[in-house]
Amino acid sequence: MVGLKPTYGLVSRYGLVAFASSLDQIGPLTRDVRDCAIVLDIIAGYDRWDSTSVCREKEHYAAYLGGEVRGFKAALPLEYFGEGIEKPVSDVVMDAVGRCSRLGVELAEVSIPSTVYALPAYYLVATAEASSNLARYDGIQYGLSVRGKASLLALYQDTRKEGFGAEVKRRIMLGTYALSSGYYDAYYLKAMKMRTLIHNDFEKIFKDYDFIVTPTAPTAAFKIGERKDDPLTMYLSDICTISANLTGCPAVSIPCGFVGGMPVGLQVIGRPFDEGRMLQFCYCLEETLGIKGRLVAIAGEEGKEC
Amino acid sequence: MLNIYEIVIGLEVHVELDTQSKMFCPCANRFGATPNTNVCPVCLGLPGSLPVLNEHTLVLALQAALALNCRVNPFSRFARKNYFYPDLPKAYQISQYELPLAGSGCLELFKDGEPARKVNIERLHLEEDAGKLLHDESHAFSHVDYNRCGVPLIEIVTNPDLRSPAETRLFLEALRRMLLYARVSDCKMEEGSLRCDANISLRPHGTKELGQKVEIKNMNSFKAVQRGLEYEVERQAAILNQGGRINQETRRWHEDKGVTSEMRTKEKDHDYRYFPEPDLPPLVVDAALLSKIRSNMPELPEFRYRRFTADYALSHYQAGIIISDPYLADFFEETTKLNNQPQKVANWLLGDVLKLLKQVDTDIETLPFKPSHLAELLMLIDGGKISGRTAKEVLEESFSAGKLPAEIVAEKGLGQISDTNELEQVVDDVLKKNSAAVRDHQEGKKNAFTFLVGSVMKATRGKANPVIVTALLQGKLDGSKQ
Ligand SMILES: [Zn+2]
Repeated sequence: MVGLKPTYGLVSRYGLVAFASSLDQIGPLTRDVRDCAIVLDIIAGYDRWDSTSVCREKEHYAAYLGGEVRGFKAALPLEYFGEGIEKPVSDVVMDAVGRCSRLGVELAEVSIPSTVYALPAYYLVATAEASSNLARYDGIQYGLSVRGKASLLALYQDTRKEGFGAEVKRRIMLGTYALSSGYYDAYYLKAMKMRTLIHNDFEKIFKDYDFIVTPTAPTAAFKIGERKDDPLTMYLSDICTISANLTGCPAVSIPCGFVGGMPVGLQVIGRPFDEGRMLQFCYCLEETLGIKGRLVAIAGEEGKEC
Repeated sequence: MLNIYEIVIGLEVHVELDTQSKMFCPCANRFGATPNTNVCPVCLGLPGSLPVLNEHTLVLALQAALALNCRVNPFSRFARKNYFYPDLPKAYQISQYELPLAGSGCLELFKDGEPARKVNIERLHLEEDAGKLLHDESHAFSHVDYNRCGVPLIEIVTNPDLRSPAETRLFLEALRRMLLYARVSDCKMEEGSLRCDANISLRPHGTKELGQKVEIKNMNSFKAVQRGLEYEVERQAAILNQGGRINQETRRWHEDKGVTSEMRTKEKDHDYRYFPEPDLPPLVVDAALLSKIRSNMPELPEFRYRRFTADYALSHYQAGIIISDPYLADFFEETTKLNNQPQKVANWLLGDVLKLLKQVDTDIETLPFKPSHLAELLMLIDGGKISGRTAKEVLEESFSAGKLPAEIVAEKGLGQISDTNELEQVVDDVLKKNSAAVRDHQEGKKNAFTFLVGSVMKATRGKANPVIVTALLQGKLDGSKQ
């Protein structure tokens, strides 16, 4: 799968059921980079019904594909290749990155010290916003409404107890706690400050480099249904991708190799609204790696197991 | 016993802004519509909907801020106020918290045209209104009307500067007047477009530390605010006098019983979990916008007061009453433009027009009787077409139906008779029939003349021009003497 998380504000969120409003962004999940560009061409653009939508001239993303990548500058942040990332995964990504340099892409190692804040900041902001966004599912106007008892409080409690799953409840409780008076400064406010630090670090990198290249996840893809009972590992698997959400920067993930027979993702994070050149870069990498055929085979087998 | 305590009152006033559409969606902002007809996915809080600020909301809020001498923050934010209630479909209200639109304002209270007291305004912020629960006693459930949901409000928070229930009422009246002048709201407490909660505490005179405050809600008229606070002063004083302590709580005023009762205590108080609204960008008010608002600002009461006393030579008393209602002041000014006689217009407005308004219990702006009607009426009097007495009759008729005075006069044949020939016949007739009175007059009895004038008026059903009648009678009687 190729996945693109566009720049915050490029694709309207009107009609999207909100989870974390300041992080949510609709993006294509496609078989390859070309499909990704084609879908983005269609869904990107200003929408006056979304106040966070950005008004700018429309671009033609598919037209970038096939362009030269020589001279592009990519930064490899140390923090994304070390502790917490499985060695075979970072090796596969590094190997793919090596191919980039043969295409004329300039590579350099950099450091993004604020990376350590990304996970806590993300889970505070996301859960806080989710606790508020999901509060409307209260059984009054629409959806499930458990009305066995006479009191309003019981209606709220029973509806939400029955309607939400364990992970959603966990996040609502975390977020409610983070916003509670007396804890707001220690959690939510601090998370916003961390977010600013990460943003500043990214801006600094983008002064000198076009892209930041990292693994998409600390492990290869896990099988469908695997690990869902271990929330902490699930949260940690987001560690590489959440900085792009927190900063609003666009990011693309493409398969770049295999570990234990399962695909490994390579992530390209770019400057805001630089999706065109990012897709141009990813398209070139996809052609060079030439692993599409093997991916289709794996997808077929995984499908059979389900 | 009460006067050993100083009363300290602060207000939170909610004012609905008079916009065409709601704050974050295109639905109509209209009072009294059929329930749940002015709604859409945004104000119903349906999943996937997003708010977009109605720019006019900001314009009106800024007009209010300037009218209240507030400092406008160039950068403010919307925040979510989270709580569960059936009239709040998103389960949060979009409001402002840490960074309000404006702060540090004040409103001057006047006494006899002189500034008497300054009440400081702590903050003024924007927020959306919630819906309305309709309780139906015959059912075990309540209805929700979402028409009001998303209607733009400003919340005005005063400092604890008010010192009595009566003064609080004066402040509210002055605030209402100011906001009417700023053209931001119709400020109708009975329709809920102006609502007021009060914080009240007592402290021994001379002490600086504030006493424990209690919040009072559900006071739905200016009178109710004063009564509710008066009750609360006595309740708190009685507790303090017995050595008791005031609980930190919210109390509800019951207009029918004339008492307040506990609504919720501090322990059960909401934690609203405010945080910045991620669906809306920061509210930026730059110098250009502010100066545009300032230059388009409607005329405020003090300025108008000064202008009315200077330009139209109105007395302080006249000007004071006329400017107290911006629509009355508009009415005065428009009528004066038409007939250029400010004193006469003022006399009629303050006299018969206000009396009639009170009788039919309505507002001047909704009346079918317009400035053009009053101007026409005054013209009929000046032109000798009708007498002052007839004019009052015509006014009454024109008042509720909005019929033009000239039309009424023509239809009812109320026109004053100024035709000398026509009147001479009547005078001759009266003299013939009242030879006794003529004799009395010639013998020097003064009231005989008055009687004869009265008889002519009676014969013409009050329509005779009294000046001409007097001259004619005088002439005839003097003539017959010689
Ligand atoms: Zn609406």
